[in-house]
Amino acid sequence: MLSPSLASAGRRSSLEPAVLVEGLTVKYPGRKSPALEEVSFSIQPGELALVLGPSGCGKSTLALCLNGVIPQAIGAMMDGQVRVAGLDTRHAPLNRLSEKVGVVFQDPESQFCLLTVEEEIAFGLENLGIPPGEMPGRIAAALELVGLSELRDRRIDRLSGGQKQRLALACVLAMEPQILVLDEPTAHLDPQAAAEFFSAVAHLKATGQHTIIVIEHRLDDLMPLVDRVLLFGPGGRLLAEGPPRAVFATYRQDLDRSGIWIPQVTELAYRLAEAGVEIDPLPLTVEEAAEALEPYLGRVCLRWPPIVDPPERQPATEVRRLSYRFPSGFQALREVSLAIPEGSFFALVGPNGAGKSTLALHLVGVLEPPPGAVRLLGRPLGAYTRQGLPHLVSYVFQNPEHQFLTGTVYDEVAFGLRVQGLAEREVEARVRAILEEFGLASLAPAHPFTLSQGEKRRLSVATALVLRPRLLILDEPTFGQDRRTTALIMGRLRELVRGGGTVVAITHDLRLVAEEASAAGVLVAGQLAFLGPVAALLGSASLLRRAGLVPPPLVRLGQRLAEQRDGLPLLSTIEHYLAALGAGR
Amino acid sequence: MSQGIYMETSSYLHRLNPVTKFVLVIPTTLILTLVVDIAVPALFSLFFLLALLVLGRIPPSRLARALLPFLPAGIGLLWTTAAFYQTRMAEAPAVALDLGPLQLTRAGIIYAVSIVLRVLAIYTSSLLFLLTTHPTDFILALVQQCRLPVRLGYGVMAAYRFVPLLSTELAQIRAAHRVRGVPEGGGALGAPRRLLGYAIPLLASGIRRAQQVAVAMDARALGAQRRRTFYRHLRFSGSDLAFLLAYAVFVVVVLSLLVWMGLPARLDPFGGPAMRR
Repeated sequence: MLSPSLASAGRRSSLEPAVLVEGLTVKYPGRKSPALEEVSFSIQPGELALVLGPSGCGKSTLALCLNGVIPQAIGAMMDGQVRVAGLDTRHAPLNRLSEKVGVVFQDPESQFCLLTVEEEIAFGLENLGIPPGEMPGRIAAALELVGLSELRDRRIDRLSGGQKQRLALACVLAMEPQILVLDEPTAHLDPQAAAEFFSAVAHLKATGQHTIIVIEHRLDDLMPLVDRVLLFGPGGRLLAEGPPRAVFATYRQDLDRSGIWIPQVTELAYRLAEAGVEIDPLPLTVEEAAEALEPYLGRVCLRWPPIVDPPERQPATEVRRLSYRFPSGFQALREVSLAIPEGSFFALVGPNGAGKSTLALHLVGVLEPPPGAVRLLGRPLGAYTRQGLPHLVSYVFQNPEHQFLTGTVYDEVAFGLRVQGLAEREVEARVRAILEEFGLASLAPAHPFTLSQGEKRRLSVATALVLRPRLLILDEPTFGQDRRTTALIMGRLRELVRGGGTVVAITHDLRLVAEEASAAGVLVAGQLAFLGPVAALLGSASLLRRAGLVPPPLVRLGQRLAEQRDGLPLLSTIEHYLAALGAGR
Repeated sequence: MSQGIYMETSSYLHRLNPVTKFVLVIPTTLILTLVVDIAVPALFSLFFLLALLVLGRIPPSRLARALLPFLPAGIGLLWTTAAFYQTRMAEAPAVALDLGPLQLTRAGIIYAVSIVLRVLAIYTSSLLFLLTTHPTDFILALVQQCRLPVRLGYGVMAAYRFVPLLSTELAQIRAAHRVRGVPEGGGALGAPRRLLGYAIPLLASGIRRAQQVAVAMDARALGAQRRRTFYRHLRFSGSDLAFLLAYAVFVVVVLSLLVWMGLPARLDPFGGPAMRR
């Protein structure tokens, strides 16, 4: 099934590792500390290596070192040696290197420059000076490998994000590299698209033709493919390298401290071990966990979970038969009706473009609903003045940068309080307190745009929470965040809900939904396809598929266990497992 | 993706080399600047409009929509030219239209119509290029036929992809600012400050994207090889030659007609500025 031209990419020397990095130190001009420091490792042909590390630890820098873009195209000081497929990246010409090493980057929007799928793949071949006659065969073979053969003539702007990322993969595959570097390829994709991308990677790995290096923090679908883990610490140093199970078993503290995501079943095993249920060997995949937990099924506690009826509360927000059509004519919402009680955490899910943000913008009056269609805290939205609304509702947008209005972190948090007309003394006290809590106190005088992605997100959530809103809407609150930032933000949202506030989260992150939300709504093509308790959503495979979601690992594990043991409710969070396995407290 | 007013279909004009269609604009503009007349620009406009309808397979409704922006400009130009022409007249004019304080002369009206027709002809010649040429194809042709440096050419194409993203992003930023209680409106001082507030995040993401694209293109060896090949070669074909020839024949015929019939003499029976200069 492989074309001969692609198969030839697998020709490799058995004497030398595919990637050899020795004493690599990289420093960008104008920076005090190096991005990578004294890094040495090697990767054998055919292996898949996973690169883990906290944000800003030099993972992306490493990717650019492997194809010679550093130091040849980007001016950075580089010490040490990098050899890929026998070529020294410092001296070998870039075109020869790009025939050996292909890189797929994070953002599906900024990797292409041509119009159609076919032309874009040809672009790399043109750069290499491949004769035009050879190109159609190579293009077809590359598309076949990533499962996009049908879309050969499609225009790139009509592709979904997931298709774009697989196209990016096809673009480098056509250049027939032996080594593939994937730099957070699924960071911008929804779960279903990510799963499709990983299945393309699995397919590549199975051919045995490629050495693959993946920088990724979405590990659950990837783990079965990983041969080795390279764990980076802060400051661009390599902390550990080895088989994944050994790294996860030994370096738990570093992984926790740096907030690095780990497979959810591995996290479960950590927590069970703390509670006295040791699982050996440490599970990395749902299958391994299901097998390991089987012996415990005999003594699960079936009386769990204790059912507490939520007290009846008035709705924080209420929508009645809301429809909306964009000026372009696109029907974004059709007759949506729902009510979200005060003091609850509500998850709004659905595929991209289903109208989730459009609905949420109506809830806070940025898009003006027809009179009476939206009520906030018992009154029609129209009854509130434009100045009055920001006292009651806050909205955290997906891209924190969009919301920044001032020149310093301090002023950013103070802005909303000042709009409310609070005394400067009160403003200062509240700003200082929340900056402290979000670990931003030392950054108070910094410009918001100079912060790291994680800090920006914390800042945008802090600017909303400091106002103590009655209704807080968050668009993808966990997007691109490490484990620590996510835990911090979720903790604060839980507090808000306990205090009677209402949280609406637009998200693709079902793990977040399972852990935090009590109820969920599923929007598909502008219509409400589901409204009800989270457990019912998690249990319905067909509903999840329509929403572009895949059940998170603990839900899949729970389903496997429920099949084996009658009467076991669907376990979907770590807390559930701790309770069910009698390790609760 | 924004494509300007490009209309996607398959036609003879669409298949022409973009450079061919682009080059036509130059002699057209030149001739129309030199010839002061009504018939010539009218014939040129007709030529381009017919070419668009027949050879470009642009539906009449679509063509009408593309011509719409010309309407207010054309009327404005017609009116002001006619009005101002009168004031420059030396001898007693033959008044054609008496509007009290404003008197339009016959010569003034003829002159104004010729000016408007000239602009229309240049406008339609640009439409011939814009309606049937995808911007990407144009840059590709510039790289292939006019030796535009590849890094520049592909850089422009990559940047071009970002145009529609910018407008989505701007909408998001406006919504984000509004929900935080930034007053809309805000008078003479507020508006520029608000725009600056929109510009900073747009610039930040624009610069970031540009860097990412540059790195991605480097990683795929753009410009690393001296000789690049082309998968889709935009050539000058027989149809390009045929079209250029047809255009040349048209120009020669029109101009000979002009000389033979002595048309310029009829333009300004009163010896208007066009003849005197």
